[in-house]
Amino acid sequence: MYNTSIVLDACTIINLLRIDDDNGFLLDLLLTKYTSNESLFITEEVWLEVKKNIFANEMTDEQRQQINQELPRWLLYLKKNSDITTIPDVEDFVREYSNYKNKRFNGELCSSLFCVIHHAFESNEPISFITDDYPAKEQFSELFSFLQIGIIEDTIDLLISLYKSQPSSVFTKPRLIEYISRLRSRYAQEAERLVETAKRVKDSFNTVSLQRKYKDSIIALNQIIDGWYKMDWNTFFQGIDAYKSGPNKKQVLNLLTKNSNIISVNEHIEKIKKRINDIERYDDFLFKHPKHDILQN
Amino acid sequence: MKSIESYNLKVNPFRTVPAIRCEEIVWAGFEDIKKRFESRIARIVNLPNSVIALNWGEYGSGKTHAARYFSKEDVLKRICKVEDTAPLSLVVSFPSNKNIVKELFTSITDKLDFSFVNQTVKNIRNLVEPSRLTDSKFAQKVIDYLKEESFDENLYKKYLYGTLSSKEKEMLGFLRSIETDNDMVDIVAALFSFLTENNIYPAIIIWIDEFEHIAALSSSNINSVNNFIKVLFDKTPNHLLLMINLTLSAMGDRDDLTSYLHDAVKSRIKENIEFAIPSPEQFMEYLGEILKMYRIDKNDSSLFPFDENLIENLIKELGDVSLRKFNEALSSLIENALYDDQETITLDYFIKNKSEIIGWQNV
Repeated sequence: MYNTSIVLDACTIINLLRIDDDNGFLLDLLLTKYTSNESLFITEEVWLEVKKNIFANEMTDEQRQQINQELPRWLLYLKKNSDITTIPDVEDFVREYSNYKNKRFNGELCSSLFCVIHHAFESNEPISFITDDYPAKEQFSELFSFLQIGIIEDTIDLLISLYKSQPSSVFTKPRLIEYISRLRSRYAQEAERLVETAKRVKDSFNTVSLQRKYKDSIIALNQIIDGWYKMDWNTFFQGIDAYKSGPNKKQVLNLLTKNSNIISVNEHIEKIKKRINDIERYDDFLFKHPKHDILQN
Repeated sequence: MKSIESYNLKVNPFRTVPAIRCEEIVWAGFEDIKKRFESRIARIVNLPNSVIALNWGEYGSGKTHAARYFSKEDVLKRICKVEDTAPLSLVVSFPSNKNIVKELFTSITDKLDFSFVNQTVKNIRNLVEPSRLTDSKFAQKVIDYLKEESFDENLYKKYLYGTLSSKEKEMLGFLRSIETDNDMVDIVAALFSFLTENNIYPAIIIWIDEFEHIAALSSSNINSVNNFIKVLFDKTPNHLLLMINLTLSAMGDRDDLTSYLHDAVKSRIKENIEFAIPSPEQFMEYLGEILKMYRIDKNDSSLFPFDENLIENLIKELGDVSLRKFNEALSSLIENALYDDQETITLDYFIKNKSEIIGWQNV
């Protein structure tokens, strides 16, 4: 990924903003590593999603203030929708090829379209799409592979790339592990919040008449809770789907199940666990190449 | 709709959430686990050497309940065979991600009876002074105040929470506010040391519930937790028992959870207590004892309102489940039977209403 252009998805931007230090170390690194405006891109659709969701979860006033200060810095890299959607055949092609027909025009689709168009008309250098939406990654990977435009990676991969780009005095291994563990924290806590809410909602059905009326909901909630504690992801996600399609939709639980971080929470946690182990064990081989910066200058 | 008393029961005995009110915290069945806790607690009073015990069990196996039961003063007095002061036993929940050390500090100090400490200190000859227990002059001053004639618990707690004015702080003799994580760790460690070395309490037992949440912390916060425990044990080498409750979940299996503990902490672990999945015999024993505890007319030692063949079948149907699931099924049976005006709860009734009682089993 290093040395390619990158396109960022909303979930990646939000994750980066939330795991960054108070002094904005990661953001600085990202925006200076890709200093020329031709290297880092955010589509307008993604930007709208970021603004809509960045403050969705609780945060301190300091965090809110810091994020508000940092958000405008991303505007330099914004690509308008009009640059992308005025080439309609491409969108039809991408939708058909990736079997993305019925889904609405969202950040992932927009970003993938941008990659295709940019690679076709602007520069045939590889371009990477960074997203933490694993279903989207799976859906568009074949397209990227077929057209040979680049690869789709996630925030963990981006963090490792940023780590490699800096000397140890600037970006240490413990620091890298700290950022990755903060990412794990985000996923884990969202999942735990979902499970705690499921328990509360289940306990709220505390009379026989309520229990009989919402029997199916209780079954779904039990699947979420049991799946979580038995490390049975199938049952966990079955429970979420069953609850979402059931009759009773307690607002708070409903919102949590829609959270994109929940969708592939197991895969994220597994990958993070593996990467932390990889970094600890094989860090001798995770070569840092700051000299590339020297070569480029 | 019938009332619970018609089943010769004071209330529905089958809790689906851990009891909080003292009189509701009872222990039924499971003699083996009970004996292990009793033995461990007796040992921390009678032998020096501070230790950590890890309590493992699946969700709903009774760990939180054990923490609450073994923190009851009358239970502790009985186990430790003491008449006057029982060991100090506190149950704290694992802190959330925000400010780990501060949360632990506040949870612990919230539950302490400083007035009792102040009263007791007055009667101690040859007091082991705070200056001998900690290098930190700052922590020494904080503990020194506990010896004052003019001790004021409200002001003291305000100081610990950081809400005291500078004037009040000066008046009480404190050097400065409590600012850093290290300050808080030093104070708790010095305090525990003071309490144990002076036998103000015969021992200190801290239960940390839901410790598995450590898996959801960032690295630096995991380090903070480990450091807190390490310093606590360094400063309180005697009569401190840390009970750590761990539930397996998708966040980590046993190896994962253990890997979050640093060596300095792991070396203090002297016991692993398992809350195993109950056997049919254990369920039956538990059921018999708990019904007895909640009887209005104590002469009844049957399983009324449950038919015996119903219980045998229920246990078979449930299979390997936690105590919580067993309680949920029994609670549901009672509530539904009362709702449907059943004189007793028969096997037929259970079969007819299986989906209400254990609907979750079929998925």
